[in-house]
Amino acid sequence: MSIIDGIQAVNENLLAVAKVGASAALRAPVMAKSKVRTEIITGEDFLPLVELAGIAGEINQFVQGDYLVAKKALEAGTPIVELLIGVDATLSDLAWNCGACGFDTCAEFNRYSREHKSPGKYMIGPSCNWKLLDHGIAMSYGAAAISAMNVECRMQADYGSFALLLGHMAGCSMCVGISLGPYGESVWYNRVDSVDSFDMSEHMEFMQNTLPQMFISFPGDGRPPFKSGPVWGKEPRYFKPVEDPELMAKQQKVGARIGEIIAREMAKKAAKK
Amino acid sequence: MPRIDLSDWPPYSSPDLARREGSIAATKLMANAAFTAPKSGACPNIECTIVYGQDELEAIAKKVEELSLVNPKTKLWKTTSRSEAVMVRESDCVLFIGSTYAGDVLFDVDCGLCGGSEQCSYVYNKKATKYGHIDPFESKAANPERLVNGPLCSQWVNDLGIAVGSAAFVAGRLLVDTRPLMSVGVAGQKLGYCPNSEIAVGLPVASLAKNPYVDIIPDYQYLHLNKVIKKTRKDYALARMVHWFDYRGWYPKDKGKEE
Repeated sequence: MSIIDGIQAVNENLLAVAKVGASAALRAPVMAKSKVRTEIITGEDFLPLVELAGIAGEINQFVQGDYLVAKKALEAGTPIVELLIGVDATLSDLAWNCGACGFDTCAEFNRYSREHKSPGKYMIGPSCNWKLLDHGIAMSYGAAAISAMNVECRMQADYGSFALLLGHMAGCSMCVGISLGPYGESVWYNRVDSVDSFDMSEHMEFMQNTLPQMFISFPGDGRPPFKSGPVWGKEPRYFKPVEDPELMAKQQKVGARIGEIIAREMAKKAAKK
Repeated sequence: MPRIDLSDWPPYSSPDLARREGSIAATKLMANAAFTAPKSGACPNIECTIVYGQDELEAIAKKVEELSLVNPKTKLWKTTSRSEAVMVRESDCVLFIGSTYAGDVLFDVDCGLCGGSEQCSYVYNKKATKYGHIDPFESKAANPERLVNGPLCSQWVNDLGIAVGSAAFVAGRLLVDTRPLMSVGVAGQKLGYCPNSEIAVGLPVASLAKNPYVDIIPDYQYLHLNKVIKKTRKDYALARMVHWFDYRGWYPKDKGKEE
């Protein structure tokens, strides 16, 4: 009698479930005739995405969280399967002339798009909004199908963006990844693997940067002091927008390192061909 | 003994109204699914309206028909809208899901979806703005004729799609029929549904023997079931008028047979 280890079975199932997720995404009830595309990334091909997440995570805490989960999982030899779902939203074949893109007609939008199609920080635009709606519907169907099979998963725009940068999903302007696995309960949510990833002072700095209105005292005098502690009035300090050359330099360095990895991976691909 | 009789015929009869209650209950769960659907940054950015009742659905259908005239050069727009107006009339209710953020509170992540390398400024530059905020009223006043007051934050629009997908997925699980429709969403907004959204999708819902959103006939506005029934009622009445038959006095003989 053959015996299959439970964890081994779960890990092997990830690919099968990802395929079901792709099937669900491709049969989703789209509204705008979008050609939804899917791709599944496994094994070594997932590593460059994680590498990019590690670098980008140095200046983006959202991405850093996604990186840490993947890193810990891979270190433990626990696979993650990435289901990519994407569309090309940069042209409209609808002639609905709805105005949602900012132009009165689809023809004007298409003309503008042909001349100005370009990447932003994460995806490529401009976009027909109904094509993006279709993408969302497909994403939802894919993730819901995976969730219905009780497989740990999360939609992640960062892995979708890194996949586009690395040449996956050719022709797509919008791509989001659904990470399946690692196995466990709410691995991508409560982030139990991220224990000790920040201390209290880092947390306070993060909160003050992101929710400054929670740290100001009475605003009536027009220059509310920053509530640095229980007796903030003794040595009052104030919020003030400033330039941050150090942060900008770091961002540039991170951008350059991301560029190097993309070039390396593209060279690898070219060599394989 | 208490009992509930359900039937899908005749429309709006007592058993049919009882059946429709089930569709409305399912639609409420679809709305719940839209709320719990994954959101960018977990931000609460959608609202829902459920509309049911013969007069209310008729008003939506008429508005969709009205909208069918806005793109006179596009035949497909007209035929599609006209078919979708019929679908609304055949539905039990309509769920509208709107994005409350897409028009005036952007995700501000410079993702590039709305305008590529212009990033979020693509939207801000085309709207009335101050302090980095958008005034949706002024922005709408600039283009009152548009079906949708764009440009919009594409990140939220994608989120709206995810919410719509979750609602549709739940409908499938509950074995009620639905289909997300642009024309119905726009019509609903013109009627004031999802009032805090710049873009909305309409999902008509039905639990009928025949799914009213698939297997559509070309020129559906001429050949839908209600038309067939209206025509049949007329023809039947006329057919009865051809042989004025005194049913109490005689019965037609079989030709060639003796009585």
